[in-house]
Amino acid sequence: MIVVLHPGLQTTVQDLGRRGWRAAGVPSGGAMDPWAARAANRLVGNAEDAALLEITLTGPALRFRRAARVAWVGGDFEAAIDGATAAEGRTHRLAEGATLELGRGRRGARAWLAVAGGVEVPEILGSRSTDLAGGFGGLDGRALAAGDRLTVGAPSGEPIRRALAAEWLASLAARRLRLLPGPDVEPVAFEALVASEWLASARSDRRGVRFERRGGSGAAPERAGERLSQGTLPGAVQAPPSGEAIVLGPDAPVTGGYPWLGQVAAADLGRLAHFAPGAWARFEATSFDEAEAALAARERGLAEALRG
Amino acid sequence: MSGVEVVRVAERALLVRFGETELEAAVARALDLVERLAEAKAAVKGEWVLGAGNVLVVLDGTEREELARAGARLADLAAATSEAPWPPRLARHAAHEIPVDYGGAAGADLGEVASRLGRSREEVVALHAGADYVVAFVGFSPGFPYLLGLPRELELPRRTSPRPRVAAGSVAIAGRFAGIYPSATPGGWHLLGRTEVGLFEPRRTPPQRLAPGDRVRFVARSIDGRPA
Repeated sequence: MIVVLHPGLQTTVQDLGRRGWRAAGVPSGGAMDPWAARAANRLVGNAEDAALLEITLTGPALRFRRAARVAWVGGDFEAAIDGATAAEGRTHRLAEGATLELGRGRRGARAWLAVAGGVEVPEILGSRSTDLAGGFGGLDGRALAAGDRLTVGAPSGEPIRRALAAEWLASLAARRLRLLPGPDVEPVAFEALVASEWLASARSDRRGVRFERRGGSGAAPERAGERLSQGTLPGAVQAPPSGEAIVLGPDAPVTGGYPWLGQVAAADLGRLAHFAPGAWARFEATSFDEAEAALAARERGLAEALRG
Repeated sequence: MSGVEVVRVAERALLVRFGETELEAAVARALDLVERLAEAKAAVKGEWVLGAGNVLVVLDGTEREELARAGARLADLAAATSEAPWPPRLARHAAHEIPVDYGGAAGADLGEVASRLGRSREEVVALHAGADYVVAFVGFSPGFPYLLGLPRELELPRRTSPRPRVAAGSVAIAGRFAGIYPSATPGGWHLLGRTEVGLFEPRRTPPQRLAPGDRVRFVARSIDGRPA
């Protein structure tokens, strides 16, 4: 049992998301950086898709009523176990009654905290992920609040007793987003996406990360604005008339009406989770062949990081 | 029949677009395609999202080597779709009646809609409740149905400034569509009334009441608090 002393800015239960309900208007959801979440779970011996906590900008304070093994990955968050500084990317053994406090992310906006045995919440539509917009999944469809109690499952697998390499951890929050052409691509608008430097807006959340052009507003794409609704995906770069670029996140609506200019390569999708307000980003044109190779490389990178 | 295009939009996703100029024809073909996809499950593994005359197919779990075959199969299925006369009579689809309390606080825009269209409140209700709708797709929020069949006399662009919160059950119109907000969300549609019918229950399988292809009629229960 874990008691939430302080919930942090927005801490939610997530796993790797739901499949098969998009036709009902239900987004996939799940950890915004699946690579970091999978690594955190593996460190404590969980299956990669076990439910864990996604932490946003400022972390929670948690009291562990029972001894537990934990690990957190992403953002290099300030952390203390019973007041003693502790590092991300490795497992920590918490004694019965210990308090874990996570502060601010030094390198990125989000982290994933895994507990051996996984967070036990009911599976809704095939997943334990919290859908904040829909108000279901996770813990009663909402972010954690002070006084909440979380049940932990029985630990099963072998933990990994080494720390993840610092370079691998740093690579999670890389600012380069490789971009495939989207179905509504316009050459001029795509060029402008790639040529500009972008700054993450504070109006970003799990539904989408908004980027503003550094140095003021550039021209919006010619056909910016509304078109007939079409299915969308996490990673879709949409162009509203404001001239911003919105990159859809895991909780974005399944259909949208803005032009779909580009698609962030799957290998780089998790990076979106790490953009704190004001952080810069660059889009880089890529091809499907390069994107496939990058995805395979990312998969190998995770395996190597966990093998050491 | 006009063209159909299949575009690769992500490593494991294809978007099928029907080029019909008439929205009804494109929607009919998109609905026909997802029926065919359900029958051809083995050939195209994945899930689909309908839009307004388009279908996004997410091929999670498909190997890279199988992509080309899945794309070709999808293009074949899309080319075989027919633009049935509107409204399409799709087998296996339910017909729903949705009781609505029009006007009042729940239908805050009924008066404005009526005056913009130069009609009385009762005429707007009669047009809205007198039409046969088909669920073209479900999107925007879990269980939100986009209903095609709105009389052209009721066509209005979305509100210029969306409301930060629209109550669950709100019955609304925008552009070519009628819709119902299943949960409280921000929203830019014109609110005509409210229904007590629950549209999305995540603990139920399936969670949504209205599925693409279903037929819908609205039944006026009251107008501004007076029985209709």
